[in-house]
Amino acid sequence: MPAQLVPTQYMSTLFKTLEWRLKRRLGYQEAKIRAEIEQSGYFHSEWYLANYPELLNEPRAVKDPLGYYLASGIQQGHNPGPGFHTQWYLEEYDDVRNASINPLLHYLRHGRQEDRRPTPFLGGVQSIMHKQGGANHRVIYKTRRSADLSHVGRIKRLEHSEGVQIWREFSQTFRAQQGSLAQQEAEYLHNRGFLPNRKRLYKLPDTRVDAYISDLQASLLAQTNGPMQPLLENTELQWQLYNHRVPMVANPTVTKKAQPTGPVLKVILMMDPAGAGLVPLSVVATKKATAATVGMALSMQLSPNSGRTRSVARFNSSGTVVGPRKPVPWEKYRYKAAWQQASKDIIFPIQKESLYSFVQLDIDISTPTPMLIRLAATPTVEDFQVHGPLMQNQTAIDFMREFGI
Amino acid sequence: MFSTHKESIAHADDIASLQAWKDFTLRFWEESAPTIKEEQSRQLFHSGFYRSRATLYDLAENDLNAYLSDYQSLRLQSINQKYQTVLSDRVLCSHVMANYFDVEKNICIISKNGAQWIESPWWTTESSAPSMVQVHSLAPDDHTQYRKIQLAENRDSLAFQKTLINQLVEEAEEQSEALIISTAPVQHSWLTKVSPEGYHLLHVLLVREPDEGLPEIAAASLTVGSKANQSNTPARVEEGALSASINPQTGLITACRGLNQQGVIDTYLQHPDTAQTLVGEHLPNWEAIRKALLRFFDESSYLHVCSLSFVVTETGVSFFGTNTDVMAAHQMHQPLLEHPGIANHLNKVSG
Repeated sequence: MPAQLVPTQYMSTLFKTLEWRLKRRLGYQEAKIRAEIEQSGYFHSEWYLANYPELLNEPRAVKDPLGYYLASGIQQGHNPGPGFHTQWYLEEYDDVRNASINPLLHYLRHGRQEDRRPTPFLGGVQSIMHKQGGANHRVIYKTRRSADLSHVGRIKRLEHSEGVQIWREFSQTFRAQQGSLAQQEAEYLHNRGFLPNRKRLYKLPDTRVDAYISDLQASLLAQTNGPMQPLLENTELQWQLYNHRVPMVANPTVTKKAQPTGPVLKVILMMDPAGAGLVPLSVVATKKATAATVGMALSMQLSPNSGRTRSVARFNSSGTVVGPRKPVPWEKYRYKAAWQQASKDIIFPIQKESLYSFVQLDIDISTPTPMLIRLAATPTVEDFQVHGPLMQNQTAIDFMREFGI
Repeated sequence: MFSTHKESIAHADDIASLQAWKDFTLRFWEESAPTIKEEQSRQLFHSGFYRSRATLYDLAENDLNAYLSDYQSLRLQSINQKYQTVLSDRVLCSHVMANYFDVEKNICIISKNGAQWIESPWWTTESSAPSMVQVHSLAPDDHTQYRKIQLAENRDSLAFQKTLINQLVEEAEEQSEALIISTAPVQHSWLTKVSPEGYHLLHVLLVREPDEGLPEIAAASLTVGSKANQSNTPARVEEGALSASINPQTGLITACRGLNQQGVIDTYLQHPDTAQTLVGEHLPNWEAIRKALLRFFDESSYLHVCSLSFVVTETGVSFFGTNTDVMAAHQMHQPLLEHPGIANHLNKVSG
């Protein structure tokens, strides 16, 4: 019987070591790190090359900016994108500096959960166009990033005057619409900032209740736009600002023409703290309720990437919902072309300016050329949330943490 | 309503008034004013006027309380409330103005964090390289950083142009201020003939009349520079530029006044350098300019008072900036408190 070279109890350790060495040799760890950073949204190739123009002379960096950042950029103190400030992170957190690890990886793996900030700038915004003095605005003051972000927790922290004013308006509207709601249900909805008809509309109570944008929260979200909020409250001003730059429906107060009544594309754009830019949170194509539709409005949720219809729902103001259901074949691509056109002609120029932190765009798609109707700071949340809660993905959670809403 | 400026300032205690007072006092001491008697200086301070107003308004002869004070001019801005945001950002302001007037193309914003190109850098699109650019502060009412930069001779020198951008970034960092580069307008040939020294800006004060809120041009004047006060920044009456009063209805230049070399206010019919006649001439294209101004203010119902400056061009006017600092140019000819629209707005803001 041949002598055993390695004792049995060490065999598993040996295999693990060999596996690890093999994976390292095959570039597995590096690939894993690359994937982790790419998925986080904190690395922006274009931003990286634009902010370190000397790299344009480095063929290696031009060919693979992320590879260059991992191999050399970190040592040179480069920032991966607008949402992460390498030098500041190292100066701020001694343990990261002493541990000599990739600071961005530390943030993604540990810092994010440990209530550490990735950048000293709110929302990652340093000096995006026009933002002198910071257009972003923290709504619930003195909020730690690890604070309780449930609806109940948010309302407890609502102390500043604008917030309490909004609370008063909400509670009065709730009382006016309360109807025959039972005491227990009224307490559940009111104390979380939802209007009475949301019970049937969102099928509350639900374990995902904190991922729905409440009506109180929708009003508070408007304030994240800070000094730019007046731009979203005045249609005359919006007409002046945008009509010669994006296709726009004529302002009724200027032209005395009625607003369009056909299908409308509604898009919520939200500041992505990782990229310090606006990204589409959700897109729906809606049709208003009419007598022909028995008072039921239509909402079709589209994929922001492809424009394909994901889900279809009908609802009315009392909270009755039919659906959401999967689209039938002829509904699948109904608004794809309109979304792609609107995305190119309207959404992109507004994203590029980055004036706002949270904004809803209403776009008329009844004509072959999509036309902007208006921008609004307070979203019409029911059009979006009949399909399910809005604030579920990592970007939305980071936004909530950052702005304390 | 208080009968004197001094009384109304003594009783102003709301935050907007206090903020306006703070801004006024800071500027009061920044102003390099002619030497005046201590007692008069004190009186001007407590009434909310800069020291230069003593000679510009000829206060030895005229009643100070008939004039809109510099403090009131700052205070008046709060009547636009939150919409002042639009008037305090050159990019937003340019978008709004582009609906009614010519607006120069904004190319690049320079801040301490670097350059943000609105258009592609001109060296990447050689065919559209401008021969001259102008640098403004991002705040449209601040003209202290203004200058024109000739690029034509260095059009081919990429190094020069990149160095220029880097210098501006350093400057923005040093002064903690954002700058904006845009193309430069070409002034109307008649005005260049009047005096070749820089732009002669047209200043317009728009208000709403008290009864129905209809737009009105409360005052219009042209500031004309001369050899004696040439500089990079737009000529100012405080530094010896002439102010030509324009009739808002007809565009006729009705009077021209300015400080002479002895620092005393003087009346001119012709430009002292070129002997070109000013008084009695009409501002080119005034009817079209007037219509555009009234249309702009009519469609901007969110604004109550607005003071704008323009470069007069061959085709009309090109937006230059907003201006809170040109009330003296208007008031050298007539006190603004006599205008019912101004008095009405002022009553509203100061209770």
